[in-house]
Amino acid sequence: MKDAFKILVATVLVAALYMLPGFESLGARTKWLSGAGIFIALCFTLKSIPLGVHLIVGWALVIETLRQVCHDVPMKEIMLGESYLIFYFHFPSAITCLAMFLMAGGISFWQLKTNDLKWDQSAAACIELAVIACSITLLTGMTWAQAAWGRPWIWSDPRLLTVAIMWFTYMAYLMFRMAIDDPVKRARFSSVLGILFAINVPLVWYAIRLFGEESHPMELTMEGTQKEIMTYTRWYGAGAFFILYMALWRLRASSMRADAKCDQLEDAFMRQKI
Amino acid sequence: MNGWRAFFSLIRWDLAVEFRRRETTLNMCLFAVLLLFIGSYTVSQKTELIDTFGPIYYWIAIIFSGTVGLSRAFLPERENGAMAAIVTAPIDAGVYYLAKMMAVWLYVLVMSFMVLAAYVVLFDFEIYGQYSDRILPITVVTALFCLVYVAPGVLLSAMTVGLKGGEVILRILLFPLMIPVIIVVLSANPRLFTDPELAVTYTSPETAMATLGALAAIYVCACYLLFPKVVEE
Repeated sequence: MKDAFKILVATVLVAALYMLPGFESLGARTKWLSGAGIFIALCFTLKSIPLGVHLIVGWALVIETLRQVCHDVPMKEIMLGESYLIFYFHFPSAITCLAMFLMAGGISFWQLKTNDLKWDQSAAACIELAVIACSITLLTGMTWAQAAWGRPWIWSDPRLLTVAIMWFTYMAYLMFRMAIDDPVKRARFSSVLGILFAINVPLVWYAIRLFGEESHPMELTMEGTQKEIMTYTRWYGAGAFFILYMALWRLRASSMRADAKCDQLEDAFMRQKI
Repeated sequence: MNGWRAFFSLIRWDLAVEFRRRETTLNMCLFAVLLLFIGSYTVSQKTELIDTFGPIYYWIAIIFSGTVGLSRAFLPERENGAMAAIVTAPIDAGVYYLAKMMAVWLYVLVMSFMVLAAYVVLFDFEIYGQYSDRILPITVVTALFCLVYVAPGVLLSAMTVGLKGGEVILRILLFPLMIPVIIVVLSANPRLFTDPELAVTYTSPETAMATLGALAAIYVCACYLLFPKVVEE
């Protein structure tokens, strides 16, 4: 009942936002703010629907993105030709991994504040999924770079470098978790690391842009309605991937919780035996 | 206990232990000079590479040998069970972090000045001739670099000190955090170490100092706030 109420409130909020008179003519900043509002409402709503439904919705949206890529968007881009189509999978993965890394930082902070192990499992599952999204971003990015620039790795592209550094950073986080056995200590240390690394992400981003080599700007060039379709599809894809990753995140977190419960029961059993 | 008094007595204690053992600093210096020595040999055959690779070896020597000091930073406490005593003492854990960080910063500074001296000798850096005005900017940038390096390093060292393979994990965790700093010093390298006429388009030493100062402030504040959570029992 409580969940249904949450869904209702989120839907009404989003609908109200779009029905505001003159929403279309609002400035870019307001649109970003309302986008963030919708994002938060989405996060709360998604947690309230059953996991099975959530997974099905996620996959369905990803398949719909694939359909749009096959039928709606132009097949060739002016500069890059057909190779640009990989962008519709590259961009959503990149946005998802960035959002999930930052969310993991927030959850880690909350874990330190509440000392509840459930948040630690949630943050760890979030980072595992984000590392997978990050790997997909790197692989599709390198494939695209091979097609566009003739080389899979280019040091002068700041985005490629940022994602690669994030990958190394969060792989280190996962390695570190494996080295600690005590769950309470692991939760505390991982949360500290989660916060420290979340601070590091924007620093890497700015350091590379301000002090790195000159960057190659890479904007998609298309005119008129086609550009609109392209923008629409890529943001649709970002939403679809994000919803799917949220479902996978819930799945992983619940399996981690089950693992922790098993360990607890095993400990209790052994103690009883002694 | 007063915060400042605790801070200074913790530093004094740390320096006294280090002065009697003479392990950490000596090990670090030897390792750093050895790294620079090998680096210098690799470019000795081709003098035109010295300007490019010399400064890079300088930073590499500091980063790699710094981890030797960081991984040993909490060993004295661990050996004698002093960590538990310090945590239960009526001292703010943040103050303990700041004292530890200052002590390790001092060791790393001693090591990096040894590296600078070795650099002057091995790479034929003319401090009495052409490059006499460079020593001050290089020293300041190096000191700030070391501060940014030890601030998260001490926190990570406290987390990894008792773990299996803790030293390796410390490096894996610390190096990704150091990437923004490395990018900054590498972009300032040409104006610090080579002919400024050739390198006008690169980052100036002043910009590098300001950026490193800002990064140091961010890391010191973040780690000061996070450290109590690490030592909490």
